[in-house]
Amino acid sequence: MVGLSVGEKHFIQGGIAQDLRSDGRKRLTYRPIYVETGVIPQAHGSARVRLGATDVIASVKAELGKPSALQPDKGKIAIYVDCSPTAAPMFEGRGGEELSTELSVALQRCLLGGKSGAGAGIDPTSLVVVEGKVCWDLYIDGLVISSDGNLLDALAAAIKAALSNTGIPKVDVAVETRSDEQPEVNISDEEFLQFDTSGIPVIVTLTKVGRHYIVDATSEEESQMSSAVSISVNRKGHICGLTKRGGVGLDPSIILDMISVAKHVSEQLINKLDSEIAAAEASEEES
Amino acid sequence: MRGLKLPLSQTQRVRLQRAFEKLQSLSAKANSDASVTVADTIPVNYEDAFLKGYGTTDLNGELVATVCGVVERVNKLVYVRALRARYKPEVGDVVVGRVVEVAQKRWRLEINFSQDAVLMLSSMNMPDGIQRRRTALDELNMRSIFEENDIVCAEVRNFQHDGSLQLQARSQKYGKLEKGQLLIIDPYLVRKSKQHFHHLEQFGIDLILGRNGYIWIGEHVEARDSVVIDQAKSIEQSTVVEGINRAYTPLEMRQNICRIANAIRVLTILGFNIDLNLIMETVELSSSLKIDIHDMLGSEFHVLVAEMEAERRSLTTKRKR
Repeated sequence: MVGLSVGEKHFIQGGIAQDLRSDGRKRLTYRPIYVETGVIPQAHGSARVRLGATDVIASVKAELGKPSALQPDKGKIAIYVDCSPTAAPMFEGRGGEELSTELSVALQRCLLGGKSGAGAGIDPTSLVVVEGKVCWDLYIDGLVISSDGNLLDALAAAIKAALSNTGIPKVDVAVETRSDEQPEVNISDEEFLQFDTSGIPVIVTLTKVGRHYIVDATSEEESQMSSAVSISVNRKGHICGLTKRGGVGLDPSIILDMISVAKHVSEQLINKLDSEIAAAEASEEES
Repeated sequence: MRGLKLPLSQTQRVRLQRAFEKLQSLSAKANSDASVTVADTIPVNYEDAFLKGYGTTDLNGELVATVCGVVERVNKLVYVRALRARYKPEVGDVVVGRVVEVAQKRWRLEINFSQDAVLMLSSMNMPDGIQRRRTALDELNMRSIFEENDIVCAEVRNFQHDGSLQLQARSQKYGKLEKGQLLIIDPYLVRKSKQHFHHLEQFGIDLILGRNGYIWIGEHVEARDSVVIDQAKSIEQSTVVEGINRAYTPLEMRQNICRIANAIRVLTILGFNIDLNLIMETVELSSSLKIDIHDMLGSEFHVLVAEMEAERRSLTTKRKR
């Protein structure tokens, strides 16, 4: 990440204060989002999302596995993010690990709900095949190819798009099995079940610079931030998760204000994202 | 269309394609056989003695290009000038760089080149304006002139023996750049011209087109008597800086800066050479169509700019004939 001179920092702060950022955006405007689906043919679902210069890929792979004994009626979902060294030289080797874990944990918190699976954006009960014996394990992987700020929003959008693109193969279970035996399953190659992604939340990250908050910060603007709050909101306007980054403390009233701003912004974002995903799927079918 | 990362609708794609074809047809007549891609044979008269330059190689007795670019012939030298290459500096180029290190009697600047450029302390004017030998005290106070991460405008003085550049900033127009934003584009889009410093009076904005692809757009600063503000004034200014009273750039000027910056971004995405006339025409196009500053980065404006440029070039070629 390149450093900024004092003059440039001042210019950025002034822009945010005057509601005119370096590329002409207002404080609450997102950069144009560009979605492509089906970029990884070997995965069950994949998507690539470009948000300005930020470029991320999400892929979904499903494998048959055994549900955990504590929750026999639920499938398992794992989310993991990797920061590629192509995004920044400091991500080489183990340099990107800290950021990767931070992003993975934030995404898990926002999309997977609590330990019991309550309130998850993705319904794990839809993943079970034979209760207690066979279930689908979903592995959602995110890859950061190019980083220009606002990785969390881009990754959440990519995961949502990838899940829309995911087709879980239909499974035929052999009916006659003894209760203690592993049932035989036949994975169909032809038929696929699409995921219902209307319940999946999006993440809106609000970055506080000076006295104002901005949405979708570039990496230059992020370098000026005092703190950032990432709020995950679903279509109904409910908060699904909240993460705060940055060392500066925030007054609780500011956090409540940020939440209401995020709710307001998320409506437009969800609509925009859905239309982009639909357009991407349509163009993928054409090609 | 070189993989434009723009979400274009079908009609926009068609219009853009048409505009690019028009532009290609206008320029093709000039040098259609001059542009080559890798492994193209270069048309050369093999009986004449000629020298093989950069970007060429001898393959089975034929001269073949090894890079994609334009064939240039200078007397007997035949070489291929690559299009997308790192910045190729020439003596006297105006460059904009960022200070990465303050070293002994010099600053190292990053200028989008394979090596960092060096700006010697002796190549800078001293605050008091007197031409004198730089003392140890001057060396200790180097940080008061330029610090790390400062943006500096300078001129290429010469090449050092190891290939790196030496810069000089002796004139009033060179020096630290503040109150604005830096844009980084591909260096091949900035051609050498008579003027790289543009003062846009109607906006009150300075536009510096660095040949290394760094473009500075900022508030206009009067050419100072000395490049550096002298010590007393700088102390006074630094305390004001720390206070919140330091005024931000006025909104209207900021809008103009953003509009120009977006115009340059659009032109680089479309791959046009950046020069002042083109930038001003793009800005006028956007303000005449009352396009919002952020919408300038949308696909519709890109298509409009491509069409405008195709029109403009066809008009100029018609006038020439």
